[in-house]
Amino acid sequence: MSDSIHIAHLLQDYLDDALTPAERQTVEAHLPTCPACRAEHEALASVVASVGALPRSLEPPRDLWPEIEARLAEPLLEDAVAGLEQRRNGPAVRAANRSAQPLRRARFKVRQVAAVVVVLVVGASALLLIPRLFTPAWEVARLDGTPRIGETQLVDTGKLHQGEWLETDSQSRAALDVGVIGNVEVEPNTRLQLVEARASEHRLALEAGTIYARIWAPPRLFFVETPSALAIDLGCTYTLHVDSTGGSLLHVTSGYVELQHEERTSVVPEGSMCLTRPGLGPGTPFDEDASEAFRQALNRLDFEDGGADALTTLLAEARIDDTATLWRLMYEIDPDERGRLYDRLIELIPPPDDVSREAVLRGDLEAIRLWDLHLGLDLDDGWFFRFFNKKKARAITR
Amino acid sequence: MGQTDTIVAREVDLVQRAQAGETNAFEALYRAHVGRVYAVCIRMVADETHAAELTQDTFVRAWQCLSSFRGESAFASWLHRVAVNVVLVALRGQRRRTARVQTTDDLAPFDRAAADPAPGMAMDLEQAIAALPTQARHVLVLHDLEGYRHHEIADQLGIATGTSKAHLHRARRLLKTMLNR
Repeated sequence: MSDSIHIAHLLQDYLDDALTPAERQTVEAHLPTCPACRAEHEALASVVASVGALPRSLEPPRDLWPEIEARLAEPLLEDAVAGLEQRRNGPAVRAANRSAQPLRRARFKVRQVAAVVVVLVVGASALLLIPRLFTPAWEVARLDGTPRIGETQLVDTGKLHQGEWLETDSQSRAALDVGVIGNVEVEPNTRLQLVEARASEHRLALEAGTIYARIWAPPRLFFVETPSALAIDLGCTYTLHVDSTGGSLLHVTSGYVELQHEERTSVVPEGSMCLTRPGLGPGTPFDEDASEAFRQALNRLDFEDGGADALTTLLAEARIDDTATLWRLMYEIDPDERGRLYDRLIELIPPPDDVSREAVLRGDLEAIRLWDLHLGLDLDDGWFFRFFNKKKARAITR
Repeated sequence: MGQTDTIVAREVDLVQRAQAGETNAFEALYRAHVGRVYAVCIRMVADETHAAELTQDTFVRAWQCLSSFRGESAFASWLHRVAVNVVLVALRGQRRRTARVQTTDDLAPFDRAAADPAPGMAMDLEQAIAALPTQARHVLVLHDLEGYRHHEIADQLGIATGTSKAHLHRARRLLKTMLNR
């Protein structure tokens, strides 16, 4: 059912009455069922109402009338311009023009030559520009400082053409329209390239820095390549940071993002984060409020053959919000360690009915499905379940 | 004649007298409407001195163009449009100057939120609006306070309609965050 997908990205348009009837219906069906989206809606509605309720009148710091009164005799700017034009075209000017006729004829030839030169220059420029006119591009707007498109400083707004690089320094930020399906805020010290700008594929390469993406299109239309993984939008809002080593940190604030590198895939849901490492790809998603010790232990398990010590720390640090991470690790760790992982899991959250410890440890598919449902790791439309199972199935059969 | 009718009739009389050149009548109009004009200016530019200058410019401009006011809308609405135009023309000029010297026009937004508020802007929400990034603030004020639509804002600010919308959404998200801190 579509209303089980979070609709935070639609809430502002909902408040502005700018949704299609179908979108409005989706929002109104979803809100009563989802505390998170309802809280977001209430918070945004409160902001809009508070702004709308601000007083329409504010007293200036001093009486401005004396200064205004002193200026009331000023001529209109337009009058001043009109007066100037009149003087420029007045009788004396016309008489002077008549007396200068021979000189004007001499200048006429110069102008003809100049015109030919201009035509040639414009023609040559047009030939160079024509391919660029047909190159797909996205709108980009300066938010702070001086972002650059290639070697050109972005003064206010401009276009980022396919193949071009957008770069911000420590003082600059930019906003990029992802065609008509979303937008990306480009934070300071970021370098990215527009790789594809087709309706069926919107693709950026993020070499370094941070972007905040907000996409309101169906899944799998917006892709961000990083040096260590491909981030595939599944209808969401997220922040993606690439560090100097090419590793990245993804933080999903609504919806879902899939991270992919060769055979390794992680689907990162709202409120979760995920690290990626060059050559290894994505690790296991973790809750945004997980402790530092939990994250470090997970990092060792995902990327450094962490072993029994790392698992011990991870289990000791785990909270109820970390149960999804524990569950995802179940078939990634050494099969001999599954028992203590499962025991900690059911300390934190009671198991689903009719699922035995033994069934989970041996990787029974029905037991896995029931645990997925239990932890809310599936979506009713099935796409998430497919990805999750694919990964687990590979791990189980190893 | 009700109280509202009396006020309207008085305003019509003041406008007609001001159109005939009576500065006393125009001063009365200034006294009645300066708060509304200053509110637009200070929220758009978030700078007290600049807002006072723009308020003056608005009334000078209104005086110069008063003959074009035909009474088809309320004087307050007409004056308000003049104020928004004056502010936007000034901002366009400012952007051109800023572009030439290539400086950053925004201090860190949250630093500014912590600064002392200007007189008349003592409320938390006003401080938060003043602390917004420049374009986000302009779009928020024009859309949520002044009732402009995105295509009108896009035209006025020389940006894409989608960019106007993105700025608005970002402004509200930032306000939500700032007000919840």
